[in-house]
Amino acid sequence: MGRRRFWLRIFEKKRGHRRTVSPRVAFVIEAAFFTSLIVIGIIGVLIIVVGYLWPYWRATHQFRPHWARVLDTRIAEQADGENRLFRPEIFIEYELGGTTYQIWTYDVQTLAGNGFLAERRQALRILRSVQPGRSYRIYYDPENPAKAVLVRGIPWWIWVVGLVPISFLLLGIAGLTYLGLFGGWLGAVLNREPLRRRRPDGDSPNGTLLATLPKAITPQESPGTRLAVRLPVSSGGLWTLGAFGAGCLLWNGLSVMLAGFAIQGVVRGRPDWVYVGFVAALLAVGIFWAVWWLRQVWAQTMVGPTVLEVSQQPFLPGQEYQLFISQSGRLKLDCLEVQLVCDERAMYCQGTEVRVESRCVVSVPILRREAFQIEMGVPFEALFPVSMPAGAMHSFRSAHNEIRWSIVVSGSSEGSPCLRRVFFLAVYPPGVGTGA
Amino acid sequence: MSTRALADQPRVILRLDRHDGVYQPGETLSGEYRLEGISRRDLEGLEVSVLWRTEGKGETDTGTHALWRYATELGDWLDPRQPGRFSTVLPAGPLSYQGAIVKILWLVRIRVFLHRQKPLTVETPFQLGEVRSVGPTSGATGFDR
Repeated sequence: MGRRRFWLRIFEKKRGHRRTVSPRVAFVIEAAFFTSLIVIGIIGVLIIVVGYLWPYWRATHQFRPHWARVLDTRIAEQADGENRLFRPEIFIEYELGGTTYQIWTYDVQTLAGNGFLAERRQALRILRSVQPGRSYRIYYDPENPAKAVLVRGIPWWIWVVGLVPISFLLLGIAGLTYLGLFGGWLGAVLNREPLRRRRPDGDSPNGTLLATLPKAITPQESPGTRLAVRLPVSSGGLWTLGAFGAGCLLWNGLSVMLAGFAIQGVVRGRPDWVYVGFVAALLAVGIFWAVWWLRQVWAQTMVGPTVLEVSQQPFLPGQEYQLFISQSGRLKLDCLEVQLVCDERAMYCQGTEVRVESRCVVSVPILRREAFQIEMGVPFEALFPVSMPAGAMHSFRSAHNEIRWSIVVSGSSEGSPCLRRVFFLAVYPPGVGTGA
Repeated sequence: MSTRALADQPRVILRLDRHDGVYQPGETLSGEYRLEGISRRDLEGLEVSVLWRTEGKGETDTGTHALWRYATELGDWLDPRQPGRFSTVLPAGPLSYQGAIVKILWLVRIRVFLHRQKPLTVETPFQLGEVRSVGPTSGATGFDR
């Protein structure tokens, strides 16, 4: 009998113009990469939370106010390679519970041995705001009264710096989620076995067919008001928009942080123009991205909901059905078009990436209205027939391949697209019960 | 319709009863196979399957509609001199399809497992149903008749 191969296969045979890497290796590499991003993100978040956020938060919310007399001030120095760093330190005296405390302090970072600044004059500016001999409000730690600070509050830069590990964390989680979404693909990869090891299916009439057909929505699951079934709108666009929004936020957050450093260099009179140019390019991309994203959000929110109902699900080739569309909102449309569309989607591995290619193979116009206006509260409504072409392929879905039928509602206003809503249909082959 | 293994010896001859190889859902697919150049001592197992397979841009997916397995180690009597027959009622789908980047092929596959040799595999495609294929170019907007 055939022997099963146990060694780790790096490359598979060449397919067309490309050489595919083993899906198992690709999965392991991708999973390891995204896991490492998560680990880096968690470590970064922990450092920021434990080392910075938590002490600042405690000083802000748990330290108690008191009064102390400033005895002296100084600037502490620390060598950082060729550079020198400076820290303002204020010597204060205060009395608590009969005990007199004398400490050098400024904020919680000073107490922790950190809080150094790049510029001496920054430290001087802070020290000029206090005068020895005068009393100032301080905040002491009730758990350890020997610790006290003159300033509290969480500095803004912590939130910006926090975006870096959070972005690693989100990218890692998104990556693993992305891998997890292809459960069928992973399952097929991890559980691939020689055919002889599979359970024989015998002569089950439609055993493999039903597993490849999308579930048809029943009137009980989604009843319509004019026709039997109301089709749900595809949420793919919203997910994409949300993902682009998160990406835009991260990109611009990091760009702003880097811009802060660039501005600091310019203010100091020692600008690194290559770095400034790089940051300017990042900001330009970020602004373009933000404008594009806001326009998309605007288009999505200004166009009202689209309701699409069908007389029956699933559709069968060669049969005629009724469609009802209702488009609300406040729109002046150049054109509103409803199309019956069939897409083929193929998923394949390229290197360590899983790619999905989609191609529209059938596009049949069903309805077209030109140059009209939809008023708020008065939706555009139309009831019209649609014929599934005789001999059309039915819906099909396997681990890596899909044939997907849909009703696409699209509209344009002032020459540019403003509306595109996709409603997926289940199309079954002739002879398969509509209740399948 | 028949298919022969590339190797001269041993070889498998697989033949479907219907010569045009076109079947409609619900019809019975039947055929015959013969093993040549294989001694009974070398024959360890035999597997006949009726399955669909995707081809095209994406990774290959398969679905087995019917499968028969015979193995000497399981006590099955295998005589390579005797031709074998198979028969199954075909399902309603998935129908054979020649798309732009997704294709669905139906085939009968015979795998013969020999002692200390690679399995011998022979496949014979057939068509299930009659779906109109789409045009060869991208962005097709209708059906080819």
